Order: sequence, then structure tokens, then C-alpha cells
Amino acid sequence: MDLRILEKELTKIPSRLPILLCAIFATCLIVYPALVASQSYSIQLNNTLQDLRGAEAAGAKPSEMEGLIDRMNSVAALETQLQNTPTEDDARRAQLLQEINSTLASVDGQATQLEMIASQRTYMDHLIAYASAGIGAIAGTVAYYYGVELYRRYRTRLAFRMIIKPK
Amino acid sequence: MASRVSGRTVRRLLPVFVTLLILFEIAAYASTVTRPQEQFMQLYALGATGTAANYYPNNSTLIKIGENVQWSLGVVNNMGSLQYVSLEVKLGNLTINSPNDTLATPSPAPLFAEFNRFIPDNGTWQVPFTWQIANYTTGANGTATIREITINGATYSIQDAPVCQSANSCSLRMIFELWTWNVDTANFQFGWVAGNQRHIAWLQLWFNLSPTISPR
Repeated sequence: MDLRILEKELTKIPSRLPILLCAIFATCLIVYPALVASQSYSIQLNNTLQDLRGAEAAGAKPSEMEGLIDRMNSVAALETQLQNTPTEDDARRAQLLQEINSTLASVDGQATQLEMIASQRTYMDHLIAYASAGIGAIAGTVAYYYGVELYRRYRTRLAFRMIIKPK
Repeated sequence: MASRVSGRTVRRLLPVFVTLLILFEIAAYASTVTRPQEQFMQLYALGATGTAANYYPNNSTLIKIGENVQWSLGVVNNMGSLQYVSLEVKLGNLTINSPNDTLATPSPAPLFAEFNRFIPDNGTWQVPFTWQIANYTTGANGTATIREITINGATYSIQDAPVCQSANSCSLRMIFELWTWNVDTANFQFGWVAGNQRHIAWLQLWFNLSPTISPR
């Protein structure tokens, strides 16, 4: 008796299999884009943060960084909004994600540009500082030479002014 | 004055020039090189008056439902670079573990709110933190559980909130944990890493649930 039931159940499986596969596929379709979007957001944020740090390390001024950091904070606010948006509200979530990604891409581009400008400026500043040291050394040597020369002439003049008085 | 500089004079001046050059180049190097600084972050909480006092209304830790408590939280970045930080707010009771300073592990208390911010190097982020208990429930055996807390006008639900044995003796604490973004893992980490060492910063402020007003 039990074997018959089992046999019946087994015959049902092939008919249920396409439904099961469809359900799995549909779940993947819903979950996968959200997963990919969230991962790509993290990666994009990570890249932007690294580029901003690169610009900072290259010598970007706080005033130059300020605007970009403000925009990154607006991304953080959008992320909070995204977290508070119900998962059913796909349209709003997609809009927020798009806004976040476009802001991140824009900030990333500006950070890369700023890094280049800042590194060139820092390089020039260093070059000027080291060149100034060389010029300073030449000026110092010339000053030393003329100082010694003046002192020597003064001593010579003093020697010529000397009067020999008999005791 | 305008005498011709002889080869002998040049030879005499050469040590002077080299000495000056070395001295000036050292000065140029010292002015351009970035000195290694101690990397750390600070987390602090201030009371209603912006000082380390007056944390509770009427100086009483008994907080009634709907009563506003004004705090101000601050995070200071001295890491030498831009930091993406997350301030996690957890609700703990007497028994829930605090963050472990030795193992650098966060508290297992339920997280109910988080605030994220990018802080520039040497920057300070001051967060106004005005909160009130929005809703709490009491169990059949007299236990009390906070269900919702309002922070800066936004209501946060607390999942798996800690249970107090009774509403009359309900000591709770807000645990604030500082998390920073780790670029290697592309995720938040508890505390921060400085010189291959993990450091953490956290705070806790105790309060007691006052049963003056009946729960909803």
C-alpha cells in the first residue's frame, strides 16, 4: 500500500519540477539584481573613498575636499533613505540607487582629477622648496665671500692707519 | 668690491657652499615631508548644555515615556585621512555584554539605529541626539520591553529588545559603537586599525525606565 503511494508521489515529481524551477528562477530574478546593485554600490563607494584619500594624500587642500565630502555625505543620507525604503517599493529603491551611483561616479571622477592637480602642485612645491635651498646656499656663499672680503679690507685699512710712536 | 674670484677663492668657498646647501636642503626636506602622526579616533557624548553634565532631564536617570532626553555625540578623526564612519546605537540592559576591548568585538545588544558620515582628517562630527521612549510593553509576568525609540524625530523599532524584570526596576543603557569603513574588505569594521593594531571606541549611557505613564 505504502509503495503505491510512494509510486504515485514519484510520478507527480516530474510534473511539479517545472513549477519548482520557475519559482527558483523567479526568486533569482528578484534577488540577484538587488544583490548585484548593493555589491556594486559598496565597490563604487570603496573606489570613491580610495580616490578621495588619494587626492588628500596628494596634497589636496581641505577647501578643495570640502565640496566632495559634502557630496559623499549626501550619498550617506541617500543610503539611509534606501535602507528605510520598503523592499516592495522597487521604483523608489531603483531611483535612490541610481542617484547614489551617479553621485559616486561624479565624485570619483572629480577626486581623480583633484588628485592629479594636487600631485602636480605638490611636486612643483617640492621642486621650488629644494631649488630655493640651492639658491639660498649660493646666496649665502656670496654673502659669506663679500663679508669676509669686507672684513679683510677693514683689517687692511686699520693696519694702514696704524701709527708707530716711539716710546 | 667687484674683485675677480680666483680658483683658490672658489676652492675656499666650496666647503661653505656645500655646508649651506646641506643645511638648507635639510630645512627644505623637513618642511615638505609629511610627518607620521599617531592615528586615532575619539568618541564622546555631551549633555543638553553641550558639556559633560546635565545628561538627564531634572538630573534624574528615570526617563518617562515621551520625555525628551538631549545628548550630543561627537566623533573626531585624527587618522590622517578621510574616514567613513558609522555610529551604531544599541540598547542594552544589565546582563547584555558590553563591547570587548581586548578582543575588539562589538556588543551583542540589538542595534536599532545607525548614523553614517564622512569625516575629513582632523575633522569633528557633532551629532545632536535627542531621543525619547516612544513605546514599551509589559508582559504578563510584569516584565517590561522598550519597543520603539524616537531619535531626532525619527522612530526606530527595536527587534529583540532586552527585557527588564519589571517596569519598576528597569535599568537600560544606550551603547554607542564607532565603526569605520575598511577599504580592504569594502565594509564597516568595529573600531579602526592603526599600525596593524585594532582599536575600538564605544560609550554607554544608563537610564531607567520610569513607569509613571502606563505603556501603550
